[in-house]
Amino acid sequence: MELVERVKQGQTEAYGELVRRYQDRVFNACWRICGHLEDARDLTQEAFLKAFEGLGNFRQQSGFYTWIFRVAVNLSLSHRRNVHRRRTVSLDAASAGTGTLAEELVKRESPRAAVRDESDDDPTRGLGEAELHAAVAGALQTLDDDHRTVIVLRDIEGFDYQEIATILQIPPGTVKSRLFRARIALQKAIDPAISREDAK
Amino acid sequence: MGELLSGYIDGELDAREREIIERVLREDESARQLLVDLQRTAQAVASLPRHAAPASILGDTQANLERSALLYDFPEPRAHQTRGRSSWTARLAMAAMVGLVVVTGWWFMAEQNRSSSKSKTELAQREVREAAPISVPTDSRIALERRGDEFAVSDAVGSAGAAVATVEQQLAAGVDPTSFRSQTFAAEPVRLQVTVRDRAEREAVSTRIEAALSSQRLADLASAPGAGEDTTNSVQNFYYRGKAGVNFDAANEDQILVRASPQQIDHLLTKLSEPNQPEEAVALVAGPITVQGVEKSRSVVQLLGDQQQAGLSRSETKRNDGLSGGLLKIVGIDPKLLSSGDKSATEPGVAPVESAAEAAPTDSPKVADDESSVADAEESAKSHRAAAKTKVAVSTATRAAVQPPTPPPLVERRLRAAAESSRESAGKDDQRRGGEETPGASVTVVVQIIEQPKPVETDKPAKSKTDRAKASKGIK
Repeated sequence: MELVERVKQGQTEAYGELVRRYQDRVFNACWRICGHLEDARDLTQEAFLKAFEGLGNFRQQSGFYTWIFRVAVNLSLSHRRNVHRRRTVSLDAASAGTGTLAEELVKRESPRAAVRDESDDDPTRGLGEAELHAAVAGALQTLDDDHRTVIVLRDIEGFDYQEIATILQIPPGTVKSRLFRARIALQKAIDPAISREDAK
Repeated sequence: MGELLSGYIDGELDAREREIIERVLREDESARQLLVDLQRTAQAVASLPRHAAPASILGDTQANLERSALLYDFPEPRAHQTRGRSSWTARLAMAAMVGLVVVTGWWFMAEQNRSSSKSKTELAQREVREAAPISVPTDSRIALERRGDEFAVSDAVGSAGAAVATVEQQLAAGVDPTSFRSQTFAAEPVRLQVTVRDRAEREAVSTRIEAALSSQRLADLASAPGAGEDTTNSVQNFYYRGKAGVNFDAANEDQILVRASPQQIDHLLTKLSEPNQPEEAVALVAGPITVQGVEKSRSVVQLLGDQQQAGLSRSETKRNDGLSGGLLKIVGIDPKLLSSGDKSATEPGVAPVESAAEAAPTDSPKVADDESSVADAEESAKSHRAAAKTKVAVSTATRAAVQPPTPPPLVERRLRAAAESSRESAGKDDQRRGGEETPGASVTVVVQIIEQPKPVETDKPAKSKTDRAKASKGIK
């Protein structure tokens, strides 16, 4: 909080320290919410600039960390809605195809896995860690914005329910229900990939 | 039950809920399976790799903040603005800023005429005749100047004055505010252009500029003649290396945005002009005035310095798709003006005013709750319309040195209130700018190195308002 106070007193160089301190986490959250690394870079920078400009509205009832995440999440969601660049796989399309959603995602995210899938029917062959990550990351993008956001804030960033409620400005009970539904949807999407990984 | 299970793995249940869930888990196999599935899912997400943020984020953020500080005078976050500053006050600020464009456009022209008549300089006026940036009746320019001063007072105390509403309506009479709002930057600095003949010369000039701006804090400039001691570490010493087209739309340019005192700019001019640099290769663009050559540029720089000695903290220019208009942004009234007895700058009696409200379109921007103030301002303006115009045919800066008549009590009260309320920030600014011993502050200047000089298009017809608006919005 001392840094924030210094910034408010006009010491803009102190803001650099705030950026340095939180940029990694903000960047990763933006990345997982918007789905694109390059966009995440721009969003992160924009979030810090907007947070600076809006610091006058920062009441310090919650931490700067929560504040900057609120800005970043809003920007990421807005960006995603605006650019319409969802690189997701339709649940219906995936299930109507040759394999599960996770397999479809893996094919897209991992050419190696796709080639192997065509040449090798061995169901016991497990997915590697990279493939698992690709499956999970891809499945994350299939969730709707509300569900993906709570998953990112909870399971990636480790916020508690109250903090998530503050960031998203929703009741903690809503956080709880959204998180459960998001996990169920995600679990269905990635279950085959997890199962294969477990079977290794 | 599922939500409780989800909360259970997150440790978000209270004791009673936890007891219930643990009993269910002991008794229900499906509940145990669901718990495992949820845990695996959460772990899978948590195991996703993380990337370090690109290093450019920090640098770019700082650069943007510095740039903002240079251009907009907000080295602090907007926390220092009046809490909950409403949109109408923001509009007032915008209106006043646009209004001041007019003021300084007029001011520069007046100064130019004055200078020409005295044969001191041969300032080359370009683009003014073919496309004056803002078409405002002469009388209202004068009124705008008056109101511009008063706005500075109002803005300093965080309240809107009647004059601001008048300004806004007057602007609406001759300016399309949206074309200004769509500018990439609301105000742009004085440009200092250096035209080079080839890449080698470009490198040489760049080297000299680097020498003058030897660090990001302008250490070299800070030690230039006339530079205040306390400016070394102040925000005004930041500079921003803009990308081509960032500050101005021309490509193939190197741009450096600097806030520096006139003395420092003069120092920079010296650096730019040596060695063997053709005199005419250096140009300084300040509003509608373009001067070629180091010496002539210095004349303009001197004018900028004169402004600052009158307590005006900075000067900027604004360009609208090739149309130039000077912006003399008054960000505060120097308390010294009060103590020195110079009050003419806010004395309304010398300002003939063309009622802008009459000419303003009905859909022009309005200032809520200020209609009565507008009426008052108009009434006041009309009462002084017969005043001699010659009285104001000098700049605010010049008038600052003239013994003025006593201002009316209202204006005086507002000035004093502004001085009182802004004393803290003024003190901080003074400290930042080297204390009161440093007259004024600085101007913001963009140093441009242009490799491919463009011929001056003297016969270019003025663009239509639509074209300007399109251009300002980046529409090709």
